Amino acid sequence: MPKNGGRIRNFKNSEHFEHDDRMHTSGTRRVSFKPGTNKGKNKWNNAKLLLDDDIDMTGSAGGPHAHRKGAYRGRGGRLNSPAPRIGHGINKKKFVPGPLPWYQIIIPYGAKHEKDVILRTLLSFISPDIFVPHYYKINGNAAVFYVDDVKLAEKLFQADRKITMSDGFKLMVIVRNTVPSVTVDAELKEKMKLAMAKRYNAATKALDLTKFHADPDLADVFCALFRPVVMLEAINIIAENIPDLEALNLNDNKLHGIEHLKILPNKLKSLKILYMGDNRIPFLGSLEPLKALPLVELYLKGNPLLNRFSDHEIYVSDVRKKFPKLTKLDGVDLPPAIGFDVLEDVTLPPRQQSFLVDPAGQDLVREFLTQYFAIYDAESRQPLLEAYHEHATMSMAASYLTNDSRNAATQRLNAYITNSRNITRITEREARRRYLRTGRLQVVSFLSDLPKTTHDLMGFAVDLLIYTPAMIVLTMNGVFKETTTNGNPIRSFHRTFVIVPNAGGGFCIINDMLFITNTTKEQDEKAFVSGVAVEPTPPTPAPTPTPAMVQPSQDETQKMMLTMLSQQTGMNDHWSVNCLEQTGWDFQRALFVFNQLNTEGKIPPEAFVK
Amino acid sequence: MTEAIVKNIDNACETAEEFTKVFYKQVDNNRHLTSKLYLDTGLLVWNGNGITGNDKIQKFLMDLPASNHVLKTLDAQPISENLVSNKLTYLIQACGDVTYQNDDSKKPFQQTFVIVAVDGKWKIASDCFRLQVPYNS
Repeated sequence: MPKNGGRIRNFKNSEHFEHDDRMHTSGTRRVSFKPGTNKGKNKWNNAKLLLDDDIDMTGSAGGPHAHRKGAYRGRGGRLNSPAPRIGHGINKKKFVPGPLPWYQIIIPYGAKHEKDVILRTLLSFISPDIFVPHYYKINGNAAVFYVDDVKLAEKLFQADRKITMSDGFKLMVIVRNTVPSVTVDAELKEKMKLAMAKRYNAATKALDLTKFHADPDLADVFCALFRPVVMLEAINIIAENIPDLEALNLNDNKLHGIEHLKILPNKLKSLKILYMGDNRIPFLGSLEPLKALPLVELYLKGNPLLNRFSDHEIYVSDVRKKFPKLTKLDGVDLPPAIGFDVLEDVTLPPRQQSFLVDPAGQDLVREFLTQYFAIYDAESRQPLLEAYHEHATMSMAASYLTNDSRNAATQRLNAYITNSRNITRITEREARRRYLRTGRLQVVSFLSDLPKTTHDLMGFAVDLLIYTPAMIVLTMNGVFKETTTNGNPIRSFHRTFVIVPNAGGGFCIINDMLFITNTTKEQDEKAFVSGVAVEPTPPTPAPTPTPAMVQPSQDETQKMMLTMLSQQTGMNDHWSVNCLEQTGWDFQRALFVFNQLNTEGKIPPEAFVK
Repeated sequence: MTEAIVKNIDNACETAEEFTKVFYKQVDNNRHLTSKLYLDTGLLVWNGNGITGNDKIQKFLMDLPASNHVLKTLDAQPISENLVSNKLTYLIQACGDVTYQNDDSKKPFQQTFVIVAVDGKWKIASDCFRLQVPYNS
């Protein structure tokens, strides 16, 4: 009977259990996580729970056993009870280190106690170890702070429910592997700046940012350099305030990924000593972004990357491959590397603005170019006829800059390319002859069709290469502005004149070879900065007659200047002579004075009556 | 134009092609032999630094970093009158990009030669090399 009855009851029970069991199984896992004191965090606990669950279920199958268990526990719900019981029953909690270098410590109901009390209690528990609580604050009922050491985090983890506080409750400690949040704003930037200033040694141009986040001046913010946003801000502050920094110490900052440090070589060009010891840099390859730094000293001890080398010599050699100028690594002087002579750094000789094969040619060159470009940059280039030999030849080549990503309309060189005599492209003899302009009429007519210009005369690099009575060769490099083209683009040019004496004893161009391309960004920035447009070359007129472009005699030269000035300004001869006389027959100066007075409206209308 | 003048124009272009081929090959690959291409009294003006004489040019060139020149444009004209010691004289302008050792960037350059035919060999009377950079002082 009892068997039967038992069986029936059993059947019913088991049915009931089965039903409940599903809830129970799934419930156990969930419930044990929730009210349990953070127990479910590790797998071992979880496995144990499941195991107990199984035992419990087996027990439930036999009525008496289950009953006994439930009674023993003395808790409300037999089926609900195992989880909390087990939670309390198992004290061997296991701490699992996380991937992040920081741990958040949460003390539920910590708000009930003074910060001081909680910290002292915890400190005495983990004694003789000590921890530094970062960014302690009250969040609702809980007290929250951070530690930056995995061992201390584990010690605190073990303190959970071990300490009974004055109110009779046990202190709960929850440990989470998480990093404090931070926003870089003006306030933080200012704080960082002050903290950095105090760590800077001006005498050695060295900045020590060791364990920066633990700086007492930054105690209330999470200012950790392993966060790229903070590191980049720090680099900006350095670049703004100490751009010539030579030594930087980043030891003990939990640096891991340092890809963003690739801006260092650009920002801090003088940096040659870098300490990055006791960080978490995983591979030697992680240092690739720093390769461009001309480091002579590097400190890497205390990084996981060192563990990857079983042979120290290979480590040293691999680091030196990345930083060939290194003389000290991890505090040890390196033996001088045996390199190849050919690999040594060779720098280009400094550039000079001008070279004169014969200083005697200086005045002639200056005079000639000033006059030539005064006409070339004027409204009409026709007067240049006088500057060319009857049988002069002229050619022009043009090309775009390589890898020029700029794509503005102003970058187009159509006006030049279509007439470019680039013989690497133009291979037909006929075409090569055609693109060479011969005879002064053809030359000047070709020049007249090119875009109108203003040349940056002060920016010219002029090389006088040949200076003999029979022949003068001079080469110019510089920039000009197209004055009537949309957007007034600036171009770069290279031009050579072969100049010979003419029948009248003056000089004229017999060969003119021009190359035109776009300016580089560097040229753009410097173009016209010497302000030639407002301040032309003021050379003291030579006491002796200076050689002029065509006519040798002073009278002839003056006549030519007069004609040119009259043509360009529209003033009559009387006023033109006046203007030239008052400027000592310096054509450029005369033109400049005219332009200035004219803009100011100081030239009377009668000056233009011819 | 007489036929001789026209021929001279053609010849200037063809000589320029041959000359620059040889010149940049020597500068880039056989720098120690480059000065042979200059007249004994030849002149090199490198970015405004003037060097006169074959030997000094050789020394100056050897001190420059290893280079690689790539030509983009070439132009040539005969200097019509026999002005340099009655020898055939050509004006050559070569422009392109140069890369130097330890610096991957391509730098635009412009170079102008005056070459003369001496004893059946073309020799550089003057060579003016300029990198395309701002020259404002």
